[in-house]
Amino acid sequence: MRKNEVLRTYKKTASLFSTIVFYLFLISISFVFVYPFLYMFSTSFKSYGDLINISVGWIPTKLEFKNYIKAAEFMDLNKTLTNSIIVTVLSTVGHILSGAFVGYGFSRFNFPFKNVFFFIVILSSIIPIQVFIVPMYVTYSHLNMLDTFMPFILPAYVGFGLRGGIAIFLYRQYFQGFPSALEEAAMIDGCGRIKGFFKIAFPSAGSITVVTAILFMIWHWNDYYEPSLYLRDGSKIMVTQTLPRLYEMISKDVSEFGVVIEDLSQYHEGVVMAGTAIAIFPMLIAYFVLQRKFMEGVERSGLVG
Amino acid sequence: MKIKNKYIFKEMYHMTLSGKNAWIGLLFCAPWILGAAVFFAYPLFRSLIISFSKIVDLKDFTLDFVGFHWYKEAIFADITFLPELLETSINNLINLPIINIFSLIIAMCLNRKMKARGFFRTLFFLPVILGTGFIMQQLLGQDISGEATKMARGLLLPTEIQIFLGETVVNIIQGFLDRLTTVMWNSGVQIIIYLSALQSISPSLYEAAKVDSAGSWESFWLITLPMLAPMIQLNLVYTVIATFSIADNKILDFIQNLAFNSADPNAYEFSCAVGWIYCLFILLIIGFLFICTKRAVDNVKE
Repeated sequence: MRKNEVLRTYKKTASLFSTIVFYLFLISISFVFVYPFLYMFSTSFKSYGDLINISVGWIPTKLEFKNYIKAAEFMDLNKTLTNSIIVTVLSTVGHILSGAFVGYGFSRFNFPFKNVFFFIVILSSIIPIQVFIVPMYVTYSHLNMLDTFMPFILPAYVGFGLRGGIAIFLYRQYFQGFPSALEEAAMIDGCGRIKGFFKIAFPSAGSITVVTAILFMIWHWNDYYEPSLYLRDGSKIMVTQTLPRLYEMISKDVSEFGVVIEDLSQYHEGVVMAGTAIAIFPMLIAYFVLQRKFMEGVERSGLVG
Repeated sequence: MKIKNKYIFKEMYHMTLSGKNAWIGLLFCAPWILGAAVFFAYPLFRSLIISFSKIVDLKDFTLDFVGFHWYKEAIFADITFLPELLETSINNLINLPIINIFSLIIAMCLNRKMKARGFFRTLFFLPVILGTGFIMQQLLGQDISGEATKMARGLLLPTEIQIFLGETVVNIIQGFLDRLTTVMWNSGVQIIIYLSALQSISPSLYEAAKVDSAGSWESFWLITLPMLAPMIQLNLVYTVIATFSIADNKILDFIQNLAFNSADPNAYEFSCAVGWIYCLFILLIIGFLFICTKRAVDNVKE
């Protein structure tokens, strides 16, 4: 009896201990994930005085909102934000439509070269864009599409562009698990294939649409490489393109003179971090609003299989 | 004309069901086929042609065939390409198992029943969402990750122990810790894939094993790991693709600088050739991984 009790308390403490270790482990790892964001927000509110003061740690002495105003001014936010939104929204819609339509085709029908085509879908999202960026650039310049948003929007509607193959892949995986009986029943009632897709299959794929929407929205918003090549005109640039110049501002002053000069206090790290915060803020909001649906979608998406 | 149309219609009418379905399938894929031709096949083909030739006149884009000249140049003459390729690939191949083991551990943690599960999941998927962009690369590059690793070092490896262990051991451990932040930020998608795979393993398997008195350790090695084999394969391949095409990759930088910032008139052709070598290199690694993991995956399918 006594022995049993000792054993039970021992087991209880052991399980409690392991639970504590488990949570500590998770918390410490999640800290690494959150750290850059904490750092960003904390720094973005620091004045120049706070930045060079070592005694000021995480919490700034005074919230400096001027950083945000200055960053917004520098980034020309009115214009760049509009551009970014136009590109992101139009191309995300394109990726959803093309992904669903083509993915449906791949999952429901058998046709010659189907496997070869699907292999190309995968390949197109594997091969880095840098491999064929030169002919791409030449093609767009021949089509007079440089300094327009067409190089981002047009490929999205045919399942290419920034990792466009992944949208097709996600929808195909979903439709393969989605029973075709529903559409067949509708077809008996005289519904065509295309109508069946738009009326039955596509609305049923809501969770995948959320996943695709979030992923592509963020990829397009964050994309820097292609915009930096195709959009050179100052009135057409996107939000992310202004950030490197903001970063350059602080590194240039230090490297050229080696000493702290006045300009440095104008564009210090606080301003840079404020600019960064502005640039990722819309995506952070979108993620936190949609994250529950996103997670459900990811779990149900049949990423597996 | 009318008769001809009627004829075609009749032909369609007499088509077998599978034949008809094939046409409808092609109709659904038509936009993609068009896109593949314009945005994929044509540029790839052009880049292949350019890599085998020399641009005589930039305006009309007239080309002169030179064979494997640029490829030879890249491999035998260029002093930066091969060392950088070696460095990048060694780095990525070391990260490959670490990323996969780490994300499997995290996925198994998140799969347990626990409090605040949604909260942790939200945090752990943050890198998937935001880690891809230039912004995050900048943030992580801004010595922030450096500071984070410094803290991790201090927490996990107090100075007393460092002195006790000696320099070489500490260097190895510190190298590992420094890698850790990069690894964590690159393992978001892998965590998702493992998590959904773990949830798809039927619980009855574990129950049966428990009846046969298998502990959690045995059931991990005998059930979880073999059942995950296809997903491990997928994740390995995905990790290779992701790490080799990450934005701050040195080779990709090299290619881009050649193509757009170089004073050398033949940099275009050279960059295409380098790009193709790099691409083939990645495909070779992926093929190798497929062959290595094929047996384990086939076992599961049976």
